[in-house]
Amino acid sequence: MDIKDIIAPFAVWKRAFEKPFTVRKPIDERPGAPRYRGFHINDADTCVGCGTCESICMNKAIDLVPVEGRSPSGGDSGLRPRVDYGRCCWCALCVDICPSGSLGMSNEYLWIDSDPEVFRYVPGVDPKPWDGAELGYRRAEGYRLLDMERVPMPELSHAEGVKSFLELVKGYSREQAEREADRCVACGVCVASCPAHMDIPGYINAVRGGDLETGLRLLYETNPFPEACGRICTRACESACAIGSGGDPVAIRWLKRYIADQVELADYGKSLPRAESATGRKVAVVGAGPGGLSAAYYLALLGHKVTVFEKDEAPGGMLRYGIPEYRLPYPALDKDVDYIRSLGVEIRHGATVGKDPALAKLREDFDAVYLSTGLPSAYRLDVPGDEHPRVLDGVAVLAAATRGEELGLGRRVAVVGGGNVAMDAARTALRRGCEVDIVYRRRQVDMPADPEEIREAKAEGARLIERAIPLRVEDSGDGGARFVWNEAEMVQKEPGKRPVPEPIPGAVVTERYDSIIAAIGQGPELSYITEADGVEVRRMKPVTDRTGRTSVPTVFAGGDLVNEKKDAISAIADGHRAARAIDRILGGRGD
Amino acid sequence: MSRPKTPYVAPEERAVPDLDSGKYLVMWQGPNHPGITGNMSLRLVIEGDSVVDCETHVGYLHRGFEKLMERRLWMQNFPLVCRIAVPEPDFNEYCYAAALEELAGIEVPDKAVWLRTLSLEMIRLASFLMWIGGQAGAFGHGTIAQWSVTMRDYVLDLFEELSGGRIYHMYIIPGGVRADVPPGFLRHVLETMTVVEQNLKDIELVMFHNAVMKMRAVGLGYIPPDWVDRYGITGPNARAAGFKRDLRKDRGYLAYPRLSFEPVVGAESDAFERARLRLAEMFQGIDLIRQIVDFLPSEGPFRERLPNPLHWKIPAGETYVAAECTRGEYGFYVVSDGGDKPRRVAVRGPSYTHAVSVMERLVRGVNIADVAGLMVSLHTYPPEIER
Amino acid sequence: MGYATFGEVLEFAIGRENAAVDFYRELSGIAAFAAQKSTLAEFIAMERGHAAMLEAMKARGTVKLSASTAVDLGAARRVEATDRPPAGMTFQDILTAAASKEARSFELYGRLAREAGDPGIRETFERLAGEESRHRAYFQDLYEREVARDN
Repeated sequence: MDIKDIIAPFAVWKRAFEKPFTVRKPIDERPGAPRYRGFHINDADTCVGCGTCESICMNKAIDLVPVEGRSPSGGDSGLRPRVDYGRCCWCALCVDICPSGSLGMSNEYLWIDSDPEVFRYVPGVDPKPWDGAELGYRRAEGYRLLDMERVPMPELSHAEGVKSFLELVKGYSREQAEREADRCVACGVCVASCPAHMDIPGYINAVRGGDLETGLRLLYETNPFPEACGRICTRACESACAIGSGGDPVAIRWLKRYIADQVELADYGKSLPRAESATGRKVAVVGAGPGGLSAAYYLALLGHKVTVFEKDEAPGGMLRYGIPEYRLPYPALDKDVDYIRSLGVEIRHGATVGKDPALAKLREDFDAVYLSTGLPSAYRLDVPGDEHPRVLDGVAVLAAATRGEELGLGRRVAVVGGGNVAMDAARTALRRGCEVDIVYRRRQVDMPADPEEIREAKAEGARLIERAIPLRVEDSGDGGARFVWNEAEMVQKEPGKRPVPEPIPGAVVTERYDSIIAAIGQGPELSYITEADGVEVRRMKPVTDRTGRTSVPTVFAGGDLVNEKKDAISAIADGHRAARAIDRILGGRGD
Repeated sequence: MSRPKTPYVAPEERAVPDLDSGKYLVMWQGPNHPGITGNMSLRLVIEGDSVVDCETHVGYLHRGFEKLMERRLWMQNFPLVCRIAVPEPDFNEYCYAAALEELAGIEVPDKAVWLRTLSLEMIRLASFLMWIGGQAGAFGHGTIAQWSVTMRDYVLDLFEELSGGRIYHMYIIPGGVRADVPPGFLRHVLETMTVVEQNLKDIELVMFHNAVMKMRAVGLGYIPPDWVDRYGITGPNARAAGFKRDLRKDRGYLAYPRLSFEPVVGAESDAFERARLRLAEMFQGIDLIRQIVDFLPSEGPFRERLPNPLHWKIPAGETYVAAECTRGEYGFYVVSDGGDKPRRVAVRGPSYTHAVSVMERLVRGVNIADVAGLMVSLHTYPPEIER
Repeated sequence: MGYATFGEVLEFAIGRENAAVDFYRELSGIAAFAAQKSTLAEFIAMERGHAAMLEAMKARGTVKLSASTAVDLGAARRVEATDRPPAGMTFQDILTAAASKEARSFELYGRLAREAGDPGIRETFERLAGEESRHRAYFQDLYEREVARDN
């Protein structure tokens, strides 16, 4: 034993008077570190209620609950995460994974209350002192658990694409499709936004797992046009996609196409349901567009005998005659239609209902009738001179292109309008070697066309003339027409509504064109409904209930003719809904 | 020191005391006892003030982690594993992440490698600081515990700054780490190291040049070198018995091959020797942290992009990943059947050996007042026994 | 031209609404198919409603209409007073005619308000003009939603 061993321990006294490290609460403040994982905060307006936080939480501490003042709308479930601090372990994986980036944590760590119930609350909705805290845990820069970038789709270059009517989009390879499918968080917000309520997370999961037969079966549960919709769907799902709230939405449309492309038509029967035994009931469908054929498919599955009456020489309606083949090649459309036909659906071409046969005859010969005649005719420009022979109907131009007819557009072409028909007409004209101006009343951002189509039309060489209000069409005297428009400025006339183009006095422009294609909107053709049929029509639309039933109990209607969205997927959804309703009136269970 | 080593009783020679004789007293130490370092019990049979027999009892802290992990996605287990050994969560995080990365064939960015090493060395220091307080306290030096726990809190402050959490850092995530160092962090690390080093010198003075400590610890809990392999003793307990074994050197994981250090080795293999060896490792740890701060790349990614954690499937396979924690070899055995959840995870914590079988044998013949000191000298954490 | 009394002003306005009813009736006579007829029948019912409303106001002696003018959306206003849609008229033709008719009434009442000497009469015309501007906006809005969707 050393003498040092006796004395050294007394050195502890040197610290007797040092300031302690402990904090005297509440006299001293001791804030959490800037990254501290304290109580949750949520920007409830940015949050889309996708529930990915709930999925990743290993403690099941998060529940998505309805909150006051929020209701489901496209891309927002209307729910918000509620955190239960009896279960939370403050790991912040919820913050890391949050697609919209709305979740965070404050650096607040003290919360004392005698009521245990308060420790379960909805951040951002139930007010808390740490709401909007600047400091606290946030996802670090450059760190994401989810892949926010879409797998690029291989496409023809614009220079290449405009030379022919070859399909532009080449489709995903298996590796690409599976990688893209992996980005999905299966929140299901998209399902609510899809008019047909397709099981999107289900078929994406099938892609991920390489189980395309299940994928195809899920597609056909609500949509017998996967090849077509996999190419041209307006994809409300992608606008709703939760991943899109913080990055590129999942390429739902391309994944649908991937499934349909990968399975051979001959193999469809292996995964798709067989038709039920024949019921002996007969249904007539007017119009072989996506809506009519969708109704036909589901009616045929339920065992009914379906006859489709179509005025054109080929089936598909607007999918064939309105959408150019570089977006939807005919073999792809034929594959969808051929499968529907394989169930025994008969399509009678060249049969214009109203002329031959009359609607009354169909009502007599069939147990039920489904009207799905769409919007076949383009509206006029509605300016003086719009009956000039060089003013063409956009829908007719596209149909003529489908039929392979000579369009005779000339060299310089103006397309008037900002919808998809206008873009398709412009791009068709470009492919026929024309110089194309797209003339639109408002701005590019106001165009109802798919932004992708606008971008591509411009990239392929179309010139976009915005804020141009058509005034009149004059004859140029040399076989063309002079198009006169007034330049406009956008005026916000009413708060909360979209701005209105107001002509700038004197700013009148005149351009000579060989053809002017009107694509400002389309209208229905309803002359086949007679007063004796008794189908109530209001504002040029048959009046229907939720199931598509008109004022005549055995007559149903749907598609562009009736619904507001006027796109293929809504028509398909209408057809499916009407098929179930028709089945019910024919004595079936309607499922 | 002249005091004899605690007599060694071979397992097969275990005396079975006749409890009905009235000579003995059965005494439970734990499950709540500061000398136990966690929820665990020693059933001691005492004759006078000496222990004649001991049975270790566990089961007070069983949370079933290994089973829980089979029901959670690969990524969901990341916040779970840190709870297996509370004072040293980072080793769990590292072993789990490294096992997954090995099975899934993921290369971790260099920056993440350095940040992981930094994190492991910082928690090693924090864990030792808590231990030294316990060790001193068990021998009656409460003051040292107050100093060292303060120092540990300074290190935890650094963790709070780096990861957002003081105890459960959840920083080492499969693929890398969760964030780069915040601004000014490395300066704070170096400043804290200076303070901790100064304090450790004070602790060394009053604890290791201390007549009471020497009288009680020297010769206590002697581990014969031939036990080391028989019982699977690792870490400082093995090194104090003269074995130069350190996974950081032997397996060369993370950035350790790029750091300069030599494992500290002792010879006496008693409680005092183990304490001295751990103190030396603390000084060594401070030096390693300084080296890491020097080497840490300032640029580059800190995490490799992984598949969507909600669907992540890991190819079928199995692996065992081990790291040198403060108590010895800490390892994760992970089996994947190709699914989105582990098929099986087994955690190898050194405390299982040290606190159950070794403790039972070492404690025989020890004065009951020294049982706590002996237990702490093995540096065990009961939570990791019961995964 | 002047309108001396409140009663005369309303009588004039009611006359215009009734003329509108006749206008739609005439169109209905040349309508080719059921859907056109039912659309026109709707508009007739609407104009009849306006006439009845003005009758009631005339009886009460007060005009309960806001004088604020609805926004001119600029759509569907090219048809001249003399134009008649063709027999094969589309929804577009009908809506354009209707919107133009309401616009002309709005302009007429506005002019009469400016010309009126009596403040009470002026106010009555202003309120009638406001009402017509709302009818115009109604048809223009319908036009934008149902016809010129892509414009």
